[in-house]
Amino acid sequence: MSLLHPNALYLLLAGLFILLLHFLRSRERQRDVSSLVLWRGLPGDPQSKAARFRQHLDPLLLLQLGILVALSFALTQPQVRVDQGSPSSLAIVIDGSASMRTTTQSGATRYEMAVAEASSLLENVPPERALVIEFSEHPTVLSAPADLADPVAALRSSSPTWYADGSLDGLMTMLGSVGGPDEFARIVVLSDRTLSGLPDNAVTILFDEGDNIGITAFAVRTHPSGSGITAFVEILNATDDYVNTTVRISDGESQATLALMLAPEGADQYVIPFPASRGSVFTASLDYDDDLPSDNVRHFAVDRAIDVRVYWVGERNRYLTAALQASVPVTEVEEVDDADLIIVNRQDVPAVADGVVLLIQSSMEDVVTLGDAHDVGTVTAVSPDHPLLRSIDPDDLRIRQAFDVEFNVDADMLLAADGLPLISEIQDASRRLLILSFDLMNSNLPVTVDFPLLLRNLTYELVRVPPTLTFQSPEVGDVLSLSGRGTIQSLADADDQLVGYSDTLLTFTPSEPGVYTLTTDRGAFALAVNPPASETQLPTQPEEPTEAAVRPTSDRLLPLWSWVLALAALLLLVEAYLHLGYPLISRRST
Amino acid sequence: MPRFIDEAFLQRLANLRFIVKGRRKGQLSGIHASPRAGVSLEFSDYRAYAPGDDFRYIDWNVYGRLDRVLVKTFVHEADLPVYLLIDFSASMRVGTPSKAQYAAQFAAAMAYLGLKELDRVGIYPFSDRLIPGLPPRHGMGQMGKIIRLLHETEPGGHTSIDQAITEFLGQTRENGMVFLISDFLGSGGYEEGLSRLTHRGDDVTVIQILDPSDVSPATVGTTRIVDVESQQRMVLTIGHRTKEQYEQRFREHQTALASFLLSRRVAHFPVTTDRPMERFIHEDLRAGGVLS
Repeated sequence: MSLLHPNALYLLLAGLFILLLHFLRSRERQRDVSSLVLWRGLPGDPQSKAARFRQHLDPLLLLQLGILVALSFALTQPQVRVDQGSPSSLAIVIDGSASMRTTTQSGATRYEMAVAEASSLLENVPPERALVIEFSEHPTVLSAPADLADPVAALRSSSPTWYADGSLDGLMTMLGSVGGPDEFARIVVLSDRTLSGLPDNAVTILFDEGDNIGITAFAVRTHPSGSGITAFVEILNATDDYVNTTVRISDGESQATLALMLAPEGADQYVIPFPASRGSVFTASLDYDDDLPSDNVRHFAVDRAIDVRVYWVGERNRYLTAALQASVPVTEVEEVDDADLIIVNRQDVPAVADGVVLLIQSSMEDVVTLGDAHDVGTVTAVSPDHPLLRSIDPDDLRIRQAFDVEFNVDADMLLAADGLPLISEIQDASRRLLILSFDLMNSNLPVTVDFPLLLRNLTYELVRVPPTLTFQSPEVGDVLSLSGRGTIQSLADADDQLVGYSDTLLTFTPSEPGVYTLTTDRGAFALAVNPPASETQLPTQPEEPTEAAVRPTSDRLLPLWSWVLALAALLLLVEAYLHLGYPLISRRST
Repeated sequence: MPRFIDEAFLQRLANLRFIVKGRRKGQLSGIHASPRAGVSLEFSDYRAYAPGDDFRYIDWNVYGRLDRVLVKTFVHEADLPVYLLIDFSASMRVGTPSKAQYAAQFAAAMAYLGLKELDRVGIYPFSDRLIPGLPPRHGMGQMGKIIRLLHETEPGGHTSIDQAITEFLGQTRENGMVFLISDFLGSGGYEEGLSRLTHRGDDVTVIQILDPSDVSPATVGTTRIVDVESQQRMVLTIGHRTKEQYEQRFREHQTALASFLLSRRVAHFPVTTDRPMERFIHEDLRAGGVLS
């Protein structure tokens, strides 16, 4: 038997106090009565059981002392070792998140210390009874019982990832794949933070040494005036002291700096103007030597939208050009095959086999034919919920003349006036046409906000230009979409090494931080990937590893404190019963 | 003295009435019926509506303003004085709750019943003589004074029921309903006083409040027994035999008291403090014909 807190035995000294009270009380035992009239002359009963009982033994005193002994003993948290006969199975869950890269005072990282601890825990456990999980946002089984491999070797060859912490659900799923948490006599989690909701047979050993400050958020916005950028930085000081540091914002050529004093255990946000900048990839860094330097640097790439390539046919219309440029970046191309959008203005054209066509006051052979013009009145929305009419108010539009229209294929009428179509849409397998069958320059559409809105809707819905091309400050482990930037040619990391991506889903899940370069037929795009901000964290309360956690041998410790406490409660009930209800020794003083 | 009466307790007494034995000079029969209608009646007070109250006396203006259903009460033309004589001698200090607390709670309940019925209620605490009390008055304002007096009066001194009643008769001229509340365990007598009281024509009810240990002491071995009134002491080993003898003596004492009270046609209600007050009032006093 062992006692976890033997100092609790000092509580037994309170027994002296109980004894003192008992003797003091015994000397002054007295009973108040309403009147002695009824008592006078009554013979005493010196041979009664009560008298003898009290002379020799006071059960209440014994019970009180018994309760004290039981309570003291329970507080020592006694445990007995129970030999289970065979070595118990052990699951080691080692935190492999980025914060485990923090260096401790010993010079080793948290992860290395956790590996050493896990190795000692696994010493007496045969491989077929050991499970080792490297746990993070993307957990990995390093060694499973079925592998029959040396779990210690697997541990020692592992290294921490750049991923964020894993979730409890993820761990439960992982354990479920090998039989569930109950399959193991003990689950030991070695981490730098506590994971709430662990199974009853799990214990956590914390490794949270090391001082750290880090940049937890970094974003850049182009200044509205066009002169440089404004940087937004959040810095977390996870130490318990004030820290003087300097944050630098760099675009690779020039930099802006800001000297800071960070309050302990808190995060602060800063806005840093950088008027001289003309770059598109920015780096924020801290001048501070701490135990986790990787989060002292954070990158941000100002993503650029791809241009919509336009092929013009017919008359140029400067209102149309202005509205189009106001809605999306536009590049004019010479070859129709290179175009994302074909604009046909006031010219009849032969049919196109594929592509997106904006047909303005024009006919297309075998598709649509315009006839005579007619004066029209109020504009009405035939399909008001159509995505091409999003945010457009037909009541704003004033159109003088519209044309008779003959469609040779199925068409959807979106806007109409006096029964004549004004805006129609044709979609088939390879073609998407938006037809404006009214006299554009005899309408107010070019000077209303509805015009750029219509063109924006057109590019989004028909040309399929993504609404935003900005990667939202991606972090390691995020799934990034690479679509919307043209045909991918390559993806390379900061060292120009090619990295893999899903060419079917056009997604990429970075496993390391850095500035990646995506090369497509539309140019090169920078992707700035950072360590998870959640890995820059305030220290948790240190928790001493319990004996149960560090002793994964074949026997297990059976805690006795609850049984002893129950005994104390039972004694307390007996005392209450004797004191209040048991007639032989009732002490109700009146 | 701790708080011994609250609004909820009083609410539960709302439907109780005193039963008056016989007609008294200047009084009408059926004196304790519900509040009466009629132009000759003078408005007295409000009280919360209780099931059975006449809807016609609900004040709808108050309901409109306060969302509370109150009924109006009126001063009766002829009423009944209720006298509460309460023993506050040192012996009433015995027990948990003490007999004095129990007596005070009971007195407050009776005062409330009387005042609710528009009677005049007076309270006369005593030990070996009368302690300054409150002469009979109408209205719920008197209730507050009674409660304050009961709170402020501490038990002490010897018991002399004879002397207290003599002084009480000297202070009051009008007979009425008298509740004499005591443990009747003092060394002083009670026969002469009670005889004079009944002779005056008062409707007397004796409430004898006892601690369970007065009835049946615990066997606690050798103990110093102290009379809380005289502070006289005696050492006695209390075993089963002593206990039985005490109980025999107590029965004789009670028999003598009951016989005397019966001979004077005085209602006698012994009660121990471990009996819930509400049950005592609702069951014992109703069964004994004091309340309806």
